[in-house]
Amino acid sequence: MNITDIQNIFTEAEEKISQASDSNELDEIKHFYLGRKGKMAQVIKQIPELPEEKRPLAGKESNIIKGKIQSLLSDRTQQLKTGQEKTQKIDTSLPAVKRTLGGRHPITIVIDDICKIFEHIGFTLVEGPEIETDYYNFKALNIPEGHPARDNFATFYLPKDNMLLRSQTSPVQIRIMKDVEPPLRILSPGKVFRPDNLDASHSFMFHQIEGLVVDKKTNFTHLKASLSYFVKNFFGRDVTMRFRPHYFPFTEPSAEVDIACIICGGEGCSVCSRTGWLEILGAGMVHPNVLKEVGIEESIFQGYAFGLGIERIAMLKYGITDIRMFFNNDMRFLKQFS
Amino acid sequence: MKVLLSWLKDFVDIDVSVEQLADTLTKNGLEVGEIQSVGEDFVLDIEITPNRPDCLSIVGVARECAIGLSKRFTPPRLIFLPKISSAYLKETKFGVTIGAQEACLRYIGRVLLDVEIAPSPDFIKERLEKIGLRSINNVVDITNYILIETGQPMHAFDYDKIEGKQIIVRFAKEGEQIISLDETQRQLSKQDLVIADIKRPIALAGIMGGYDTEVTSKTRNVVLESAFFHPQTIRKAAQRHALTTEASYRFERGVDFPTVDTASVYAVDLISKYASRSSNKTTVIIDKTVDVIIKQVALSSKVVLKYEDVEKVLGIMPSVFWIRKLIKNLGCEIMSVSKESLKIQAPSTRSDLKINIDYIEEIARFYGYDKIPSQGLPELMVEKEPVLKNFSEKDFENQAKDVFIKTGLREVITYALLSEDEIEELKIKNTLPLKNPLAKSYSVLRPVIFPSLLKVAKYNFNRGVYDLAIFELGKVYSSINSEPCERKVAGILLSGKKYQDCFGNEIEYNFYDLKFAVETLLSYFKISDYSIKEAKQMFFSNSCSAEISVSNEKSALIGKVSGKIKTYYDLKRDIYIGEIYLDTIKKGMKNVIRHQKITQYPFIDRDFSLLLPKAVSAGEIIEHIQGKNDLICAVDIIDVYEGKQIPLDMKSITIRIRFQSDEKTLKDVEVDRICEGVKETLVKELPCQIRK
Ligand SMILES: [Zn+2]
Repeated sequence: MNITDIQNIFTEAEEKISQASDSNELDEIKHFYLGRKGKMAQVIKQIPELPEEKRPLAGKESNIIKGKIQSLLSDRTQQLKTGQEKTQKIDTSLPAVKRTLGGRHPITIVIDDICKIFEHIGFTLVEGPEIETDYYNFKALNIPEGHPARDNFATFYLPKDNMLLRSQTSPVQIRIMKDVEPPLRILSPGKVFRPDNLDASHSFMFHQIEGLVVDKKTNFTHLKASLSYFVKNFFGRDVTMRFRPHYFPFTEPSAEVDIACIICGGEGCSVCSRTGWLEILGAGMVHPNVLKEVGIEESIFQGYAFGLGIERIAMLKYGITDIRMFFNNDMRFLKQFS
Repeated sequence: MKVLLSWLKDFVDIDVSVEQLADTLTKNGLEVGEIQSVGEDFVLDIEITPNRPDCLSIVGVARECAIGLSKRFTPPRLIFLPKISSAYLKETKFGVTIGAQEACLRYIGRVLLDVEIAPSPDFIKERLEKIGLRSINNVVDITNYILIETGQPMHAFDYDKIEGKQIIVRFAKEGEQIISLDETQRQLSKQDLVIADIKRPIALAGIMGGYDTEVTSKTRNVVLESAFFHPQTIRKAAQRHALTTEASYRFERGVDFPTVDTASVYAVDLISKYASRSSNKTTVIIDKTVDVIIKQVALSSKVVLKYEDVEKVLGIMPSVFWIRKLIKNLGCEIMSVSKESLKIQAPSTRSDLKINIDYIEEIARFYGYDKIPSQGLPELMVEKEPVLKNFSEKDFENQAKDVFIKTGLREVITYALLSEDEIEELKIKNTLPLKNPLAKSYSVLRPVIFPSLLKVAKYNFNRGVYDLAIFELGKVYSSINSEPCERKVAGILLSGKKYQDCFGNEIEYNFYDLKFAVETLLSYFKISDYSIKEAKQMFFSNSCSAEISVSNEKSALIGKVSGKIKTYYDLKRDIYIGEIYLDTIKKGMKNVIRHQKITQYPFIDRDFSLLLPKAVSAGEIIEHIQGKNDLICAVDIIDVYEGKQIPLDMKSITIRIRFQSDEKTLKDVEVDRICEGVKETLVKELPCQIRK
């Protein structure tokens, strides 16, 4: 016995299988080749008698042939079942087999896209809890007691004192700065909660991404550079953007970044409140009080932080006009994204 | 804040178009939204950030315009009240008492006699109406006019309706009520600051006056109030009464202490001109002025601004000359100058200028963010990454998501809040309710992920979408020893058809598809040390539920949704649902993969059937066979049969054992011997028999 013999068995089997006309015949063929005392079993039984150096190859080949015969048999069984001859043309216009396909949620897609852009420029992803304390969500971020953000109207509180659902991803900054010494370059996506009644543009649960850089020489020009890099990569090279002064308790100087309205091109429309601009993110140099609070020497280190709302960005990117679409999870909606 | 262009021009010479002005203001930090044209004039809608109460006034915005456009700012003119001959005075017993001294730092009451209530002069009426304020009468309009121009809210009472001629600033008493100007009866609480006479509250301090003491066409004498109320007190009261007014908005953000008086004087001046009964119509009689000061609001401390700090933060250095000019134009006083720094005193209107960085921000604002270059990303700091990686499970989660997506599941994101009713129905204890829920339907943090997924099913079923294979990676929340806790889980839901072709073949999702998803995840993370047992969970139907443990720790619950739960959520189709505790998966995962050699020798399969009671699970049989011999490399169940020829409480299971060696080609006799041994032990250890 040699390899050619084994291959001949296959050729012979192939011929027989293709000519078989019903399942009984196929069963017989199966028994003849693959049965306990079938041809392949006999072949395998002979392997130990082969010269030592030929045994592995013969063993391997027998396994392959067994597999091939098996799949020919099942192909033919299928063919006979659907009443189609192998040589007969099939109607290729019939609908394909329907199986549900998996895919990511559009919010996840946007988060991943944004993260990828920042990871390219050295940001590392981190995360923090959704259940936070008053300290991390407010106090350490230079948001004093009595500040409107702390109102019952602006933050969900839990039964235990000083515990709340984070209303922003900024507490992650504080946690990281307290635990890891600068220099730092981090990015933190996640869920946040605010008591806003559900309507087309409000949701009590939404997603944010927070970024933070702390280093010795990080200044406003770097903030502008990394945010420009992000905007150009996400919205396209040709997008017009502007930085405008704003106010946040935890950064100073603070900025908001606008892009020229992608709906009207800057002419003014309802989406941009007729201003021609769309606000996409908030940013600024980390406030010295925040650095002081986390024990970073503010005469040596400084940095910048930024935050953006994912739903808003996703709505702009995909032309979605109702934020509730993201959380209704209508399959007909979700399937459009992946 | 709505700002009238022509009003700004009282204080600054604007010679650019309204669009250019809006652009300049926006670039400098006062974001202009819509520009509305009213006749020849324009109204700019400006967003004033909370740190800039000074810009809640025409004067404040005008100063910003002047700096942005490099124009001269003309401050409001100083007014001196005329001396009034004592012959006119009636020597009233008017008095002001501040009881709540922590909530009111200054109160000026001026009694003006013989005023004539009439329509306002045209310029006042027009300006107010253009910015959307209703003209009422000359006295009320004057207080509103001054509020808009200076930012200081004022209120005029009908003096003759004040009982005892006494103004008392105090907190309301339990049970007190007031009818406010909007003719609404309001129940007062002890935290509400009120202006009262000797009998009753006559105004909700800083928010709205009372109806009873309103200035009407019959009013002859008025008391003009100008005060400094504590921002928090007013904010809380405005919230309690859901009443935000032009006045409360400004008190909440803080008014300027000196302006409390100058605005009041300004009002007397305008009332003299436009609401006097006297023959020459140029003066009004000030019967009595009471100015009670509890505490002076201190100026911000002086700040030494070092030029090198400007450059350090902004990465640019404007000329020293330009910086000094800017500081002066902001209304600050430069106390001293050195080669490296400036010592600066902020004006009372700019209480936000407290430290170094506040001035650096002013410099950045007016230098122009657009003019600050955007260049040179700092070098990367790769060595930080390993430390920070401990703070994220994103990589792990992304892998889990990929596994689910590859098995055909679609990701959903659902609200993490459930209704109290659902919690009651689920009978889950130690949940986390919100202290201040928005609505009953979203009032408790979800303790399990199932309800969220069932609601997705319902939403889709209602819209005719019945084939669902979805997953969510999210958190569930609970209270453990009254500590709020959160845990990451993956939820899976399957329902409807998995497969359909045009030849009439259709396969529905079943329990084993759910198990497949979980096992695929386990196998992806190389977890082999896991076991499956029946689960008792009210969510699942008794006949179809399982708990999967990894290293003896509960890691997943899977099963068919029970009839009771389906009824509760009004779902009529079969649904399979699972929850996986991702922390246990992460703990159990094996990161290191060692390559295993693939054997070159052929395998031999042996099939045999067992007859055994229904209660014995296939898992038990597999467990009994596995590891009995080193040559057994796989044990599979290839058929389960109940029915004809099988006793009622029994089933037949066909098992395929695969034998393979990595050292030699196995002989049939050898395999048969092992297989017979396996059968013997099975019969001995389990209540089963071998079918012939
Ligand atoms: Zn637009």
